[in-house]
Amino acid sequence: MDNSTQYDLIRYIDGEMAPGEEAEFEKRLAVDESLQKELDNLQLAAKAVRQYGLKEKVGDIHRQMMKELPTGSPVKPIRKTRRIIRYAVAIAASVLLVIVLFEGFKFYTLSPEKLYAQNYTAYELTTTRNAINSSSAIENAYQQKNYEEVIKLNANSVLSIKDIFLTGMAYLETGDHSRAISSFQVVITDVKDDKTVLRDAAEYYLALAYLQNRDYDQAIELMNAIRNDSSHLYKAKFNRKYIGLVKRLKWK
Amino acid sequence: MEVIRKLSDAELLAAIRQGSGLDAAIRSVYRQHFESLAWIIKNNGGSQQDAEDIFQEVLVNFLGLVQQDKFRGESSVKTFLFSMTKHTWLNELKKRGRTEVRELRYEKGSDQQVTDVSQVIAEREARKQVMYVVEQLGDACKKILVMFYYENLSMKEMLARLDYENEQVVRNKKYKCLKQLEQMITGNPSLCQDLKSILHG
Repeated sequence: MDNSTQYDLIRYIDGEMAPGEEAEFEKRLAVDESLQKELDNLQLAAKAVRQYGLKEKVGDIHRQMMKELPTGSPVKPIRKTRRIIRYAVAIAASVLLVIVLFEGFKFYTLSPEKLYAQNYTAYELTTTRNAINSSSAIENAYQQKNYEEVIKLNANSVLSIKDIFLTGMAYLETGDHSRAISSFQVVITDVKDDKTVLRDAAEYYLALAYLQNRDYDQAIELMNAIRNDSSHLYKAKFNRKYIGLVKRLKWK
Repeated sequence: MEVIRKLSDAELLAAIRQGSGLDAAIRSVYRQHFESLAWIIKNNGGSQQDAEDIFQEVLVNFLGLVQQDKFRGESSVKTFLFSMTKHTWLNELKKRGRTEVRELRYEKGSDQQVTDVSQVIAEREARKQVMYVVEQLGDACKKILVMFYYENLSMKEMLARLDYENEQVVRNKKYKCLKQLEQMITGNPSLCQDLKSILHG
């Protein structure tokens, strides 16, 4: 390809041809494959220059901006110890989250019925042959777990303290918590001696009856009293954790 | 005195496409994004120099995509630059044999998949070759060609800035320089092919 044609190609790329000349040149391009290829290559070179120019432009502004921006102070890279601390904090946060979720679930599922069932132990009467013979009708009905009969007999009889206690137990077993509370309160009031099996039992079941009846303050007060009484037969039933759970019920 | 104002994405893209506001657009990108993007590199085994080099490379590619209308705008400019920086730096680390760096540490929430990025990363070496080939021209040739083809100066304006007798001498020089560059490109067929794919798109 002669120099004149090469020169024309560049004039064409640069848009320096007159309209008529340009049209004529395009006719040549349409039929001359090598001329078209040469044009493509020169256009590629011109585009490469534009790309280079853009890079130079960014480079110039970059140098100016590096003076303007507060980047002189290097960003502190994360050191290995800091990285370890970050991971440790992340793990601790995850563990904490699991604990919070677990405790939240426990709180959500906490109920007086659940705590009652967790602690309740049925009151058993002693069953010697002589004892059976001398038992009251209420005692016999209670031993047969006929709680409805116990309650029925209660209405028709003059009761001993023990019978009142058993009636309270029958109310507790049948879910009549307020009557159970009244019965146990009578037992505690009437048993003058602080240190009897029946009084300790009445206090224990009264505390549970308060719990079932959602009288939390009274339940907590009585549970604490039992727990703090070193000779109380039911002391072990109410530990700090259990009373704490009852306290949580107040927030629900 | 230049008024420093944060450009919105739309204003930024318009300024880059129009060309007349390119300098202000580039400065705006620096002010808004350089610090956070440099942080990514410097906190992932890179130096200050690495951060500056990668940012410039990312910025040139971003400007090129916008000017060629290839920036799809599927993500914000910040997200796009973040993704470009992350992938370019990962690619650089891989090239340096630091293959143990599989995942970069960075702030959450900014790494959306940006479709244009993978193409740019794939063409990274070819783009460097373009720069290398033009760099091989002498300073005088580079200056004349950049003035004419990038800055769009007239022969008269070029003559005022160059130490030549007249416009015809400048014109002849420009002709020779472009021809020289074309021969350097066509002298390497694989490079020529790569250049066609990235420059013609």
